[in-house]
Amino acid sequence: MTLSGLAIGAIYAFIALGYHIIFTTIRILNFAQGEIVMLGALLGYTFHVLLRFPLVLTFFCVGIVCSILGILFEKVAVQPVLKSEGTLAWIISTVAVGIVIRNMANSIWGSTPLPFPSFFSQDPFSFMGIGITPQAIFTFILAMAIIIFLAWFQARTILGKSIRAVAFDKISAELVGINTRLIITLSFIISFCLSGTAGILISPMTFAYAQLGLPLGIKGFAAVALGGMGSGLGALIGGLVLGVAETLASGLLWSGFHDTIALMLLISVLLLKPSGLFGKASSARY
Amino acid sequence: MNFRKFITPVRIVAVTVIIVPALIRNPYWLNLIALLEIYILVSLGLSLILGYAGQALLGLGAVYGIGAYTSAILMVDYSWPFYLALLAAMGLAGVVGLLLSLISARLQGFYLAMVTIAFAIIFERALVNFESVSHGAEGLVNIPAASLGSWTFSPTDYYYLIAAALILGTWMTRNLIESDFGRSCLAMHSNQSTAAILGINTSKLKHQVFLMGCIFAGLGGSLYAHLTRYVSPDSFSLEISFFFSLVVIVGGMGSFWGPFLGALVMLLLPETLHVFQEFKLLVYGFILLICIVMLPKGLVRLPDRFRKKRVAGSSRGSVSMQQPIVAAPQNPVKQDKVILRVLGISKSFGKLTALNDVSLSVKEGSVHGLIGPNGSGKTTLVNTISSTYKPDGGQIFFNDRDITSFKPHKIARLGIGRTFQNISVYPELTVLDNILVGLHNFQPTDTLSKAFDLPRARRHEEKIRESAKKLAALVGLEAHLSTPAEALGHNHKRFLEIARALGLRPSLILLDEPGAGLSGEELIYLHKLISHIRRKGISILLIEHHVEFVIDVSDFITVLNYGVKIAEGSPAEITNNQDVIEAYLGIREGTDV
Repeated sequence: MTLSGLAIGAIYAFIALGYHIIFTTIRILNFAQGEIVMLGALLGYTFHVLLRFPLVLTFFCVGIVCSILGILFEKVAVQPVLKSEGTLAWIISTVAVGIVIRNMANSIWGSTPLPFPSFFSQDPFSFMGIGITPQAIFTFILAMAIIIFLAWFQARTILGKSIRAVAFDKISAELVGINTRLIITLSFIISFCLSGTAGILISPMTFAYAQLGLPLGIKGFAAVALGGMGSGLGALIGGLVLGVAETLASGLLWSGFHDTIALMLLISVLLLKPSGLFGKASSARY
Repeated sequence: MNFRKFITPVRIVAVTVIIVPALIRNPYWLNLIALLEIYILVSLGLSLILGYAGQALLGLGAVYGIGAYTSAILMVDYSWPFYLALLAAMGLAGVVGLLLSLISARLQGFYLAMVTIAFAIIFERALVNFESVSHGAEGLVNIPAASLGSWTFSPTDYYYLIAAALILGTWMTRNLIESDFGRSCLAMHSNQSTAAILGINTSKLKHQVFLMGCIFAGLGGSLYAHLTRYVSPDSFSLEISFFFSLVVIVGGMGSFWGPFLGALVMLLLPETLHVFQEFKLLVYGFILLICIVMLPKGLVRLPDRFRKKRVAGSSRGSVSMQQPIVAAPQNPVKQDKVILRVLGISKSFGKLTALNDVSLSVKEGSVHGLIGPNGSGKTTLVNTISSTYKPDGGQIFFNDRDITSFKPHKIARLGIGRTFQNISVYPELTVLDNILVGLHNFQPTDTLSKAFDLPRARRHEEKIRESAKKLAALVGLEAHLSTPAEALGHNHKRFLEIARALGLRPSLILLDEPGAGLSGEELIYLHKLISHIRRKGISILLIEHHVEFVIDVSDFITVLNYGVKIAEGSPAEITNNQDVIEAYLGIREGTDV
């Protein structure tokens, strides 16, 4: 039970990291993030089930499409509105893109949930007395591997360091010769790829359909807000905590409210501690 | 002239909605127009919250739904009379509005946006799942028509009821946005911390705006329920929340006509083009995106794009010096009375100590200069006095009252005005409105009398307008009263800030580098202005990099270096102080004088 919560939580952590990477470099929150997860799921379905691509190639193709979307998204919906003052402009432009993607996907793929086969067997085997599915283990391990790779990338490579420099101070990063525009674009690419991957990983459990994005987007935000917007490790822990909390609490509440657990958790945490459970005291940086 | 005065926006709206049934006989269209009027009413409320006050409430559809469901449930399940159900719907929506405003006091920007979206989703789930109250996914059917006693409203009667609600809502909205309430909202939208420093109680203002906007939404929801006679969770999903946001944004945020234009376009466009009924939401999304990118001020500003850009460039150029400052009668001040006492203030940012145990006393009616090299902590000190920063240690007394823990708006209302090193006039407000924001808090009136346009609110408005014009004249801006501040030259903006701060009727004014970027001639004007303010009996704490200017104009000078007070005394003493010469004055060429 807890482990399947961890597997779901790892996927939430993915989405949370997607928010986090864009937020650190450019200080906006992408309200269309959930829709990219949904697109990842539907594209995964198209490549893997309809076109019969092998799983690895499916991940790769989804990554390519998401990268292109990330570049386009930044050019069309973010860059033009950043000049105007205040936070409302980019909130609205990203919400608008979210509406567009959601309804486009609805027209292309229809609204019926499309089944995505598990990568591995869904039959639980007993491990120390607990039932675990190989699928859950695979999801959790893959998610951890990518997150660790990302941490290594940011800490050790020059591109990763540049991202951190831009996150720390955009102007001084520019002064030492970092192409901040490129870094911002890169952060959108990484973020969108993470979200697309999260979409493929989650679709065996939830199926793929156009309305999948919004609740997942909000859960990812709940995860990143739990951990504190500016902290990558916080996003990871926030995702895991949320996944486990949701799985544990689902037995206690009506099934109809399953999706709202994350939302209620989000509202209460933000009201009690706006900077997140692990964030620094600098509240409400926006 | 009289004729033009007679045609007010509220009267245009009133006449239009009243004559519509005479022109349109088709019941389908009349029903659609009634729906349009409900949407406009709700959007007017959202326009106050989102467009004027700039609070990212994206889940208003839930409040609208609460209004509709409250009214429907009370009439269907509890047989309440219509008018009581309507009032209950408005009341409950108002309570929810207050809760939302409490949330907005803690969360801002995207946090608020996300939480309100989450709220709207939870609301919809609750409608589906709490079947015993909400009748579940099927919703409520056969909601009774509106009635009063034995009189049941016909569709046309009901249309007039909706029209009356819209006229009332329009009138109240118009009154509010034309008063200092609207200006304060726009000021808060533009820059919340500056608004607080000008004496605006931002949390109270948010409560009022949310309360008002949500009551409109509740009223609209209730009217909707008895118009369609049927409510279900589908009608109050997140899409309706987005729809209202869309109406306000596409129409034009912060403009009176925005919601009207937005609702007209967003509702009637899909009706007339049946082809895109299926892709309605997709088209909405595209319109929203295109609008925010290309036309962030909404459709109401569309004509401006075709007009030649006639930014009032004429106001660039030096400040008009024709208006000689009339020597004000010397106000009697008690010499040696200390108006501001700063005691051992310390402030650090991380490891950087910006202020270390700094004390100073400003005497009433004096000009107190504060100088020091860049980064010596001058602006930090001013920020601490006006409570933008909380000091780590030390106390601040104003007229012998400890104000260290006061909120910025309270400090402003006590009589401390200030200007900013980085100019922060409200770019979109006119010169007159900028000054009026400052004046607003001099004898503020209550919001209700503004909403209902009572005589005392009108008298107050007339009075402060007169004062604002006088202040504009004092700083040489009387020719630019209706120019948006963003079109002013840098020098004008500096003087506008001083006029705005004077609007607070302060007894102490903190001028943070008022001379930066001014020409020699303008500096002379500034000199005269400072002397004038001083003769009025207003004390001045002056930060300035033009050392000679400070020495010339000040009665007393304090020198900071690396957050430590290194000297204080009369201008003559300062110019001869060895420490000061070494730290600052000595490097004649190196300073940024």
